[in-house]
Amino acid sequence: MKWIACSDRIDWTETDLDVSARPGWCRDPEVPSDTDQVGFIGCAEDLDPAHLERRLRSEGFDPLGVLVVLLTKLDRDSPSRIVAKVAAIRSRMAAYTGSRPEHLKPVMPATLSRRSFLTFGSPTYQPVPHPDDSCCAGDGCRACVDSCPHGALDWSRGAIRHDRLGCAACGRCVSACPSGAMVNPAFTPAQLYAEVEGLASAVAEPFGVRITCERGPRPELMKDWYEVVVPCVGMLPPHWIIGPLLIGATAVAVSKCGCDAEPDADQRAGEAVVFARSWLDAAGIPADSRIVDELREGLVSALGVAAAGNPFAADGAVVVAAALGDVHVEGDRSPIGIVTINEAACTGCEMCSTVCPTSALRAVPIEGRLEIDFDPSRCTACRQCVGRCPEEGAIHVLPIVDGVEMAVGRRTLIRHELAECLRCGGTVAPQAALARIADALGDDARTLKQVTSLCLDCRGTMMVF
Amino acid sequence: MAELRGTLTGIDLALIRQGCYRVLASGFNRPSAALTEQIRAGIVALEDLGLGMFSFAQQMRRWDVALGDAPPEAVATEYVRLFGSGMDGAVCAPIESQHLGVNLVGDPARHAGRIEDLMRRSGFEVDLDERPPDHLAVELELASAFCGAEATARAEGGTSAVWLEWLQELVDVLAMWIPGFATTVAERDRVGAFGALGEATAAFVMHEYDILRVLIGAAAEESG
Repeated sequence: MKWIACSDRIDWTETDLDVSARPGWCRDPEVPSDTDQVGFIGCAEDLDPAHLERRLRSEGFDPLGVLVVLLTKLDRDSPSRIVAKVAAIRSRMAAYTGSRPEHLKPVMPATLSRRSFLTFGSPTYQPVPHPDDSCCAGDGCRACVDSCPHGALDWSRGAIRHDRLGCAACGRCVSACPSGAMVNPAFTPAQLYAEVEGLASAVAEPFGVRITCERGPRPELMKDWYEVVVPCVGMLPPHWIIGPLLIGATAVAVSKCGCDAEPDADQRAGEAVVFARSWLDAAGIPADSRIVDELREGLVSALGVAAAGNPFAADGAVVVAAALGDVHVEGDRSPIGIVTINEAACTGCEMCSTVCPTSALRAVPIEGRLEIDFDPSRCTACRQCVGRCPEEGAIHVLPIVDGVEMAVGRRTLIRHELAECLRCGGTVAPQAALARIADALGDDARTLKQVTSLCLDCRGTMMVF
Repeated sequence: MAELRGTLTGIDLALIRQGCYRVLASGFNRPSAALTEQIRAGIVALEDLGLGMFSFAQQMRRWDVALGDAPPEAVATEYVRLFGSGMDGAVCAPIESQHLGVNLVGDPARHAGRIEDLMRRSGFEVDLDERPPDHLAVELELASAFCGAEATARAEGGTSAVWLEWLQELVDVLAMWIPGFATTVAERDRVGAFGALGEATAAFVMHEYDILRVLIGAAAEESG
């Protein structure tokens, strides 16, 4: 791998990287057009990433797929830090899977606006998440729509619609999507995992990870601490905060958001930190030394607990729960839930199982009965079932990480007897639903008989003939 | 590659977009060796205008390379197979009503009527040459004409708002079906040139969908 860099502030002979360095490259980043096996290393103070992006695009590169390492003064003072950052970014970029046109939001600020002299700065592009139809749960799940604080996502005619210009790329939909269908190619859970793993493989000493907002201020780091950048800390669920500890980091800190675009980001990040600490404490791991408010020196050794999967993935909470063992932690920010159904209110309409994006809830018809069963190890506490249930108080989600419940696995929550069609013997509906219809129709006995005694097919035939 | 530009006037932008629409429209016309040469020369001209600064440049360049790599006879045969005869079940006609219609009687007429109405209102006429008005090549040619009119209006000191709004009428509907159409073409294309054309069209149309809203917003500010 060939690296192109600037030699103004760094003596590259102290690293074993294959670097072609020239003075002033950061201020005038020339890009070769003859190879794609190339990466760039620049100084955070000098290199304008937007300018480099334009150069790369002009030369035919996909800027999102190019390795760019930005070094701070702290990095430049330590060759081993440079090597570690390069390893992390290489690992991250190896997990890049490409982007599509719908992932790029053009930003064209008008620099001068006087009728024909309307002039724009040359365009830059902000990568934004977009739903991947091939893995979107569909069927009415709107977890991404519910999570978007900017109203950029909408559910219309059975599909998720995304307003790119209205999207701030805060990433909340990415972490909220229970099926991993919201994809921002510049920031995927796989890339986040790869970056931390890259650090873990390159840093011999105990190291900490500070999770920082992409657009927020970046306060000085300390020796042994590395930065992992996310679109916004408001997107972090608790298991993402624990995640780095299970990949090799020995401590985690979450920086303040600091930008005005997401006013509740710090509050949300704070809540996630509180839950993550409770989870670690419940697992017998002293959380205060692992999830810290202020960066500190003298880091303790690694947890000695590894994740058997990607803790940042859509099912990452289950990965973390499996790693941390039997615990019982409750809290609104729990990424796992326990669903209960109120037998008196449920009519067996199957709306909950239809919208459940992870199939934690399932409706199973068995010999004249309809069973709704539930698997807590698939539940992401997204509450789509509660939001779409037409019967008030019929379904609840308790936000709990409970190792015992998860070990029990799938269980039946409710059984409904199904009414048989008087004509063909097929299924009409659950008895509870028919009772609800009878309540609604009151004394309209004729309609009631027609609706409750025949299945849909036979009713249709009766109407035709 | 052309030198990177720092800024872009509204006229420059309209001219680049006009050229892109024009070149892409040609791609959906019946191919010939001469037409392929014209298209490739058009892409070179777009590079000189500053194509490289836009996100869809990559897809346009890939299309250019695919056109250069594919034998002209194979391209002509594939055009008929994909967009015409549908032999081997490959038909994916570049016609709007085939992708947006719900198989109701009158759907093709509704889509064709919308384009004809837009032509009537704008005063432009596209030579249909036995193509239906909702053929993608016709729609792209019409869009190209709107961009040309926008550039002229800007050069004369106007805000060009009306042309942008008419173009938006076209592009809003194109954005509904072009990405899916491009995926289908890419899956079925055997020579690569049409798959690359579909992807370039999709990338450009998605870009237009966003840019038009930016431009209409800027035009409103200018006149406001």
